[in-house]
Amino acid sequence: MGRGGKKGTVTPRELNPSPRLKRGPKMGKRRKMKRKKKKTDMEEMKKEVVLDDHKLTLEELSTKYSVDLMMGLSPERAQEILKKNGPNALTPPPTTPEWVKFCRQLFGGFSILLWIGAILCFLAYGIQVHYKEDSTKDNLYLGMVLAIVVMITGCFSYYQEAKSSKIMESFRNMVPQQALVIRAGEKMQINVEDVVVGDLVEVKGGDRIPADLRLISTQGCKVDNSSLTGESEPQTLSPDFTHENPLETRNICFFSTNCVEGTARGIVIATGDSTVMGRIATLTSGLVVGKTPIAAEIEHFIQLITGVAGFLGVSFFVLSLILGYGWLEAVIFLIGIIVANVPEGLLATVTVCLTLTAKRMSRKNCLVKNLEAVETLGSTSTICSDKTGTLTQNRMTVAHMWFDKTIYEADTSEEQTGKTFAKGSTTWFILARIAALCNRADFKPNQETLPIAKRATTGDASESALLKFMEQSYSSVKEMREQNPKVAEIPFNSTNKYQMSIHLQEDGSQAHVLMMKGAPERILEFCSTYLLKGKEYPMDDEMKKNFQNAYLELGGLGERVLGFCFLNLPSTFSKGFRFNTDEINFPMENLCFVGLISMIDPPRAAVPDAVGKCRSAGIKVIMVTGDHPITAKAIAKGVGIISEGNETAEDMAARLQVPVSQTNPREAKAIVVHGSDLKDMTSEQLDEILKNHTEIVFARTSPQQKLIIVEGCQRQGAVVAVTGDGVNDSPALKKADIGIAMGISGSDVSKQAADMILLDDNFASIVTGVEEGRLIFDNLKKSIAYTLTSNIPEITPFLLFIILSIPLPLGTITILCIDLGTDMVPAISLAYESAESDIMKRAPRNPKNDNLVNNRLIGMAYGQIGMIQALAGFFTYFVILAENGFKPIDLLGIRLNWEDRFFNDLEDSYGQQWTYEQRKVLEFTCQTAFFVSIVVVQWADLIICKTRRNSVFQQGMKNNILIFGIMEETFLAAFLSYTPGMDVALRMYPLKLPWWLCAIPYSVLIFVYDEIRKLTIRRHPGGWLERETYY
Amino acid sequence: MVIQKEKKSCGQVVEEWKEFVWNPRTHQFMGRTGTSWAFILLFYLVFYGFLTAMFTLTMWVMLQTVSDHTPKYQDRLATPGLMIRPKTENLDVIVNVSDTESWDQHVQKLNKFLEPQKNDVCRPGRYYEQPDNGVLNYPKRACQFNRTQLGDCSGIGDPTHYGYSTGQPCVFIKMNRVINFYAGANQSMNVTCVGKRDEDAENLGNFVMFPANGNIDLMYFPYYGKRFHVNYTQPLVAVKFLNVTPNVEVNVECRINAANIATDDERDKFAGRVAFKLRINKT
Repeated sequence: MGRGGKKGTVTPRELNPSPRLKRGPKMGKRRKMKRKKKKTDMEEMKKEVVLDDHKLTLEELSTKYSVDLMMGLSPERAQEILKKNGPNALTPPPTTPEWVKFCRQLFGGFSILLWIGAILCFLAYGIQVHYKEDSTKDNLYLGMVLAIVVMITGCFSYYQEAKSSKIMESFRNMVPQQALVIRAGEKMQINVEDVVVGDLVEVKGGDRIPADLRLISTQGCKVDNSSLTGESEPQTLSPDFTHENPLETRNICFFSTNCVEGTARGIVIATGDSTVMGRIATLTSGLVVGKTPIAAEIEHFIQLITGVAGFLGVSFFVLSLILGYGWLEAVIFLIGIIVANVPEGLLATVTVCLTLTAKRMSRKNCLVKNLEAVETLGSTSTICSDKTGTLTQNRMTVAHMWFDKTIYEADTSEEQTGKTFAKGSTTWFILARIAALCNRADFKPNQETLPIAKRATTGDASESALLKFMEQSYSSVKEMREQNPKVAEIPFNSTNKYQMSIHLQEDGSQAHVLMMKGAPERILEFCSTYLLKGKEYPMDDEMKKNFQNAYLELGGLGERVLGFCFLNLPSTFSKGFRFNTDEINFPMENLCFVGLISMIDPPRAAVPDAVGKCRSAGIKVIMVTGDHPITAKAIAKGVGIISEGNETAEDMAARLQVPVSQTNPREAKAIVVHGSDLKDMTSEQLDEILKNHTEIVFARTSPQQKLIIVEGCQRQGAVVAVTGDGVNDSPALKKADIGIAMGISGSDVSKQAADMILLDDNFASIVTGVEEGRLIFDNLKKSIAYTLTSNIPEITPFLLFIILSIPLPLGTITILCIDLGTDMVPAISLAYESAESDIMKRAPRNPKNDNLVNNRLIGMAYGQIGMIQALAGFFTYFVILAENGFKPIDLLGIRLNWEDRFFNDLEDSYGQQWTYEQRKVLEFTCQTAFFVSIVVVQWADLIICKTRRNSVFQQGMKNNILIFGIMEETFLAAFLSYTPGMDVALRMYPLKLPWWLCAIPYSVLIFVYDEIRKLTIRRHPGGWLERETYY
Repeated sequence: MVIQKEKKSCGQVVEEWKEFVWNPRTHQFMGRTGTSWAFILLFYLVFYGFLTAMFTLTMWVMLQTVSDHTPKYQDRLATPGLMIRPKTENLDVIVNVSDTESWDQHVQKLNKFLEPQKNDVCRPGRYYEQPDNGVLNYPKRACQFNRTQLGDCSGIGDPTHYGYSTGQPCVFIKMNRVINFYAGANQSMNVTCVGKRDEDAENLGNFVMFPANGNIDLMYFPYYGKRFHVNYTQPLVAVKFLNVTPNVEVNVECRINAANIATDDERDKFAGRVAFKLRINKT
C-alpha cells in the first residue's frame, strides 16, 4: 500500500546508478504493471549494492555532482536540489492507522467465529420475534454477550499490542541531528534533513554520518560501521579507492553510521531512502511476512471447530425436519447448535495465556513485541545467530600472551575470576609496561566504582583491551603513565602497521625508552635481539621459527595478534632531547623483541551451554556474521556451534594432507561459507549446503545475504529465528519467523523489525525463550483440551431436547456461565503448569503435523471425556426431575405441553398438576444442577488435563493457581446458585445439597479412566492407544 | 510457512476430497484403513457400552430411592394452581352463539370431563384422611363429586349446552392436585371471580357460582396420588355468566380464598388464581 506513495519521495534516479531505481517514469502506468515491477524490485533489492562513486577520481566526482570540491554547492543550488529530492530522511515504514490495528484485533482470527455466532444469534432472535410475539430473549442476550466478549478480548489484545509498541517508541531517538556543510565556501550547521546530494560535508569524531559520503580528504578518521556491516571494529577511512565492493572500500562512509575519531570531508552521493541504509529500510518494510505458527494453528483449530459445528448443525437440521419440526424451528435449532459449539471463552483464555508467558519471558530478558511470537520461539527449528554481541561479549579482551617462548592464557570470562600465569617473569614485566605505555586508550572519568572490565574507554578496541588487561593484572596504568611521561609518539596507521612511543624512564636516570607495538611480522623486522627470562639474546632462526609457530597458532584461534618490542635509547638521547617523529632523529632499529599478545572478542560465558541446549532440543544453530571466516570459525568452535570432533572440509583436507577438492564435502558435517562464495551460489546450491551440513557458519556476509540464508532455511520447512542488532539485519529479522533484536546494542531499525527484543543481548536468553515457548504450546493444548471438553455437555442437552422432546436440560445462560465464568480461571491456570518432561530434550515440533489441536485432542475432549461429562449432567437432571415428580420415562415427548404457557395443569408421574411457572422453576433448577454437575466433572477434567502422559501422582499438585482455579469455579457455581436474586437475574435456583453429589461418580470415572489411559500409554509407547488418544 | 500456498483450483479441491473419502493407493476411507476403522469403532463401542452400563446403573439406583407413592420433594408445589374448563388455546373462551361449531367442541370436552364416577359419599366439611398407620392402606377411596352440585352448569338435561347456545356460558374452575396438600387449612374455602379492570367488571355483568358461593369442600382433600387414589375426583366450581356484554373481550380473574393458598405470586399468574378471556359474539 504505502509503497506507491513512498516512491514519490525517493531521490532522483539519475544520480543513483542502481538499476532498480530507474523506474521513476513508469509510475503512472497501470497498477498491475506496478505490482509486477515491485516484485522484481524486491528481488533486485536482495542483490548487492551497485555503486561506482568510489572508483571515480576527485575530478570526475566534481563534474558528476557539479560541485566545487573546496567551496561546496551554492545555497541556491542546494535549495533547488532539496526541492527536487525531498528531505534527507528515511521514509518511515507505512504505519497502520490505530483504528485499522484495532479492527484487526476485533475481527482477526478467532474473533470472526464469535462474530458469526453473535450475528446468528441476532438472526435467530429476529426470526423468533417475527413469527412469535412473545419469545424468549435468550438468543438476544447470547448474541449481545458474544459481541461484548469479542469486543473486550479485542480491546485487551489491542491494549497489549499498544503497550509493546509504546516501549518501541521510547527506543526511538527523537533528537534532531545537525550536520556541518560547506556551501559557497562557508561552513554552516544545518539540520540533517536539509543535506542534499552534492553537498560538501565535514564530519568529526562523535558525529553521525549525515548521508552517504564519498570522502575527499581525511585526518585519522575512523567510523563505526557496526550498525551496517556488523563489524565491531571501527574502520579507518581514506580518500583512496581500496576495494571494488563499495561496502568495503575506504573512501565511502554511510548514512547513520558513527564517526569515532578524526575528521573527514566528503561529497554527499546519496540521501534519504536512496542511501545504503535507506535501501535496507525500504527492503525491510517491503517484505511480506508470513503468518506466525500459532496463528496458523489457531486457524486450523477454527476450521476443526467450525467443521464439527457445521456437521452437527446440519445433521440436526435435517433430523429435526425429519422429526416433524417446522423449518423455522429447525433453523433456530441449527443456529443454536452452532452457537453452543463456539467456545466463547477460549479466545480470551489463549490471549491471557500468551500474555502471561510474555510477561514471564520479559522477566527473563525476552521482551516480546508481538504476542503470537511467544509460541513461535518454541517451534523454532533453526536459529541464525549473529556473532558479535550475541554470542560474544562485544569487547576485545586479551586472550593469550606469548613470551619466554611459551603461550600463556589470559582470563576472558565476563567475571574475570583471574587465571594466573608467569607473572614473576621479567619479560612479563617489560611486556606489560609496553602494552600500558605504548597505548592511546584511556578510561573515561568517574567510573572508579565499576569493575575494570565494565568501564568505558576511549580509543580503539585492541588498545582498550590491553589497557584493561594491564590495569587488571599488572598495576595502575595511570600511575605508570605519570611516572613515565610520553615524549614522542607515532600513532598507528595502516601503512606502517605499528605504533611507537618514547617515554622517560622512571628510575630517574633521565634516559628514554622507545616502545613499539604492531603487526607481529612488522615488529619482528625491527628486532635484532629477543628477551628470554629478562635477558637479551641475539635473534636466531630457532627463535624466528618459534615466533612463526606462535603467531600461526594464535592467529588460527581467530585472535588478533600484536607484537611488542622496545629499545633503551642511549644516553645521548637523555632528557631534554627533542624527538622529531616526522624526520626521525633517533635510532629505530635493532630493537629487542619481547612477546606477543593476542586478543579476541570472547564468547559469553553462558553461550556454549545454551548452544548445547539448543542442540539437544533439536535446534540447528547457524552463525551468520560479517566477520572474517577464521575468527568466525574460532568463535563457532568456542561456543559449540561447530562441535568438538566435527570438522570442515578444509580441516579434513589439512588432516589428510590432500587438497580440499579431493575430500568428500558430504563427510564434513561442519562448513564455513564465505560471503563471496555465497554470492555466486544458486538457491539450489544453498539448499544443498543447508541440508547436508548440520553445523554451518556464514562469514563475511552482507545484509542481503542474511536474508537469502533465512529464506533458504525457510524453504527447508524450518521455523527460523534470527538474531541481529544492526540495521543490516533488519530485513532478515523481518523475514524470519521470529526476529530477535538486541536491546542494548541493537539499532532502532532492527528493534522495529523484530518480534522480540533480548534485553541483555545474551544468546542464552533465547534458550529460556524457547523453553517458555514450548511450554506454552503444551499448556495451551491442555487448556484447549480442558475448555473443549465442556462443549459436549453443553451441546448434548440441546440435541436431546430436539430428539427426545424433553425439557431443556441446559440453557443458554448457563452455557455462558460455564464458558465465560467457571471455565476461565481453571483454563488459564493450566498456563502455569510445569513441564511434564524435559521439553528441551525433544525435537522442535513439526508445524505440518504436530498441531495445537488435532483429531486426537478433539476425540479425547468430545468423544470420551465430554461424553462422560454429559452423562453426569443428564444424570443430575433426571435425578432432580424424578425427585420432584417427573420420572424419566414420562418426560419423553413432554416438550410441547411443557412449553405451553397456558397449560397450567400438567400432570406429573404422581398425578400432581403443575402450572407453567412451577414447571419452569423446576426446569431452571435442573439447568442450575446441570451446570453445577459440569463444574464437578470439570474438577476431574482439570486434574487430568494437567498431564498428557504422566500420571497426576507423578506431576503432583504443585500448581497453586490451578488449585485456586478449582476453588474459584466451585465458589462461583455456589454463588450463582445460592445468591438471593439470582432466580430473577439469571434464572438460577438454589440446589439441595445431595444434587451436588450426583456427578461425583462420573468425576471419579473421568479421573480413573484417564489415569488408566495414561498408564497404558506409558506402558506401551507408540501403541495403539497412544496413536489414537495422545494429543 | 512463509512460502506462499498456491491457490488450489476447484478441480484439485474436489480431487483432494475424493482422495480423502477413498484413497485407492492406501485403501483408506476417510483417512483410515479398514482395520484402523475397526479398531477405533471397537474402542468406542466398548467405551460407550461401558458408559451406557454405568449410566443405566446409576439411574437404576436413583429410581430405587424414589418412592412410588409420593415424590421426594414438593416444595415447588406449595401453592396449587387454578385452571379452567373448557381448556382452550391461550385460555380464550370465545362463543359465537349462532355458530354451533365454535362451542361444540367445548361442550364435548365438558361432557367428557364431567362424566360421572361411582365414588364414596363422604362427610362434607372435613378432610377425608386415610392414613396408612404403619400398614399400606391401598387403594385409597375417593369422595364423590356430585354433578348436581353444579346446578345450572351440571349439564344434566340441559338443552342449552352449558349455556353456550344462549350466550350464557358456564366456565368450570378447578384446583391443581397436589399430593398430601390440606387445602384451606381446615377452614372453608371458596372461589371468587371478578373482572380484571373496571371496564371488564362492567362488561362482565352478573354471574352465578355453583356450588353456592363457589365453595370447595374439604372432603376432597388430601389427595394421595395417582397410584393410591385411583378414582379421585377433583372438586369443581362452575361460573355461569348471565349477561356478558356481547362482542367485547372481557378479562376475568378467578381466585381461591383459602387460608394456606397465597394468590399474589408476581411471577406465577396461575398460583391460586386463573385469568382468562371471555368473548361472546352475537350478531
